[in-house]
Amino acid sequence: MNVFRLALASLGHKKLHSFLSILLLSFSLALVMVLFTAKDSFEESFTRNIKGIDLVVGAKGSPLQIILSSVYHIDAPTGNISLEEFEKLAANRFVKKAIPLAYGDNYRGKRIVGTDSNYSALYNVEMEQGRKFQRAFEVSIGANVAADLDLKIGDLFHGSHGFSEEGESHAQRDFKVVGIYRLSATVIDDLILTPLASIWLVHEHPEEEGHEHHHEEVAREITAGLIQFSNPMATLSLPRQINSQTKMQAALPAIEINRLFSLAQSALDLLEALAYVLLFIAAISIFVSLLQGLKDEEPQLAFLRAVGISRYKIVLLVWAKSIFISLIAYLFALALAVISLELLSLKLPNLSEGLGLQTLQNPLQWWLLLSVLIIGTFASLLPAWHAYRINIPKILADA
Amino acid sequence: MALQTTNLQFSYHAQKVFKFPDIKLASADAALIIGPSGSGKTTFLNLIAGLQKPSIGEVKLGHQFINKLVGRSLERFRAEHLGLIFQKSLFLPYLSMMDNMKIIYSIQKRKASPTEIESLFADLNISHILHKKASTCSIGEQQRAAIARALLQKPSLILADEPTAALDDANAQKVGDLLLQMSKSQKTALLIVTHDARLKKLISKSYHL
Repeated sequence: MNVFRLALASLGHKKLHSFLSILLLSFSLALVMVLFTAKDSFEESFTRNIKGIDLVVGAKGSPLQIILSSVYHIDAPTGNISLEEFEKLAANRFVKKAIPLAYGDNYRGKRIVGTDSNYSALYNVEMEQGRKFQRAFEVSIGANVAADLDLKIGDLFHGSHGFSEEGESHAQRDFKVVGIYRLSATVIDDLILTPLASIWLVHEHPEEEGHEHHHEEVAREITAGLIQFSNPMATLSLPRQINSQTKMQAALPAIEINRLFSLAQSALDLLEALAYVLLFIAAISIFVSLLQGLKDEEPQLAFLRAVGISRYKIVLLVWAKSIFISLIAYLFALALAVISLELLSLKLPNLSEGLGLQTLQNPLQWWLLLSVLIIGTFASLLPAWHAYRINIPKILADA
Repeated sequence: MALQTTNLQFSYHAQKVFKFPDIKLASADAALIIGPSGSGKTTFLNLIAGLQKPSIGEVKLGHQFINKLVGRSLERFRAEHLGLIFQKSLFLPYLSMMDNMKIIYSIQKRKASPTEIESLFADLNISHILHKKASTCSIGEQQRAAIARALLQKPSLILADEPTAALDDANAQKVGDLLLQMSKSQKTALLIVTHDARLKKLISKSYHL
């Protein structure tokens, strides 16, 4: 009978106490794990998606909303801008690349974005199958779109208005899938890309469509545009110029995302504080259950001391119980964190895939494991001291 | 002599001093310590076991003065030479009797011998509880297992504090008989603190406090 087997048997004997301690500790640990992984991944995915975009233009409104809707596709756009004005901006000598975006429709929850081939090139996304869209009503779809909606090359579908699946259906013409992009951990994964012309055609009213040749060319509109500067100096002058001289609103992604992070940061800080409070309560619960367990076993332990077991063995027994609780809780927490992170990456397509695996590989795990062992040791200090000082004759006389 | 005490005295405070009779016990010898409650019977036992230190006097077991040992060497001496039996048997309730016995081996740093445990349990007529959890055994069974545990240590002295107090007549008789028989066959000195009249019929030698 070694001390560690004895510790396990004793924990099993006090199932409810052990369970409560393990539950508390594993929940608080899982919260810490989820937080540090999700935070990293959240920041990383937001930064990855603004790579190469120096400026975004949209209709006048909140700059953050323009960024969220046009770069991350997680908000409604502020309105439309005129294509003519955008093309004028694209010709500016400070502008290296200008990518137009027209959106406002979806197919079963996935956004349909009218753009040109520069958009996927911006993120270096390659084709997995098929080819890039060329003519109106051809679409190339992101990897998640293909997987989630079970779409293949050659499939036909028609979009609905708005961003929710229940939007009014556009019954006129079918979109045709001509290509599927490779998984890239960028926004492209969840988008349906098509030429601008498709979006314009879909939104023309049928009676207009019939008489199109009788009218003057309709003023074309887009929703937003992504701009890459040719010269960093443009950061200072161009936004001001756009805001004062055009009907468009300029937004700098880097600045808006920093603002978003600082907003999110306070929420994350609060959650983190909560996790540490829970961790502290878990440590107290281990302490209480160890002390209670010790009190219940005191006569038996005093007997073993009387027949010659060393006091260090008894101290080791108390510590081993605490360490077992901590280790079991750590393993539970790991499982809990992996499962909830996997669910999280399914729910939030903007976060990268395989968050659960990421948390396992995070070097912080080793620190967390070390901290857990330290917490376990601290929780066992007082009970171990109590065990060390067991008054054998008194306890045996009272037994 | 297996056990010899000389001029033992102990006091919890100055007003009350316990003086204990000198005891001489050969191996395989058995004796009772008899006295009313509060006369210091358990204290006497603790002094002999080295669990408490006398204010004056000596306890000699074999060639060793127990009262001169401290710390780890006292613990080791107890592990090798003393078997203890109490009114309650004090087994870890969540372990089987077998595992409770194995703890004794690990304290003595010996390799556990299941066959030794089995034959001892057979001698004491409790083979059927060997793999039962201690908490599920009756008090009579537990007390017999406590004798087995004391004998497993191969001690030169068994100290028993009211081993039959919690037992009915039939079980008290059985436990008393077994203790005597085992101490004879294993050449172990036996000292029993008791006020149980049933034991006085079995063991004639006694010290009165």
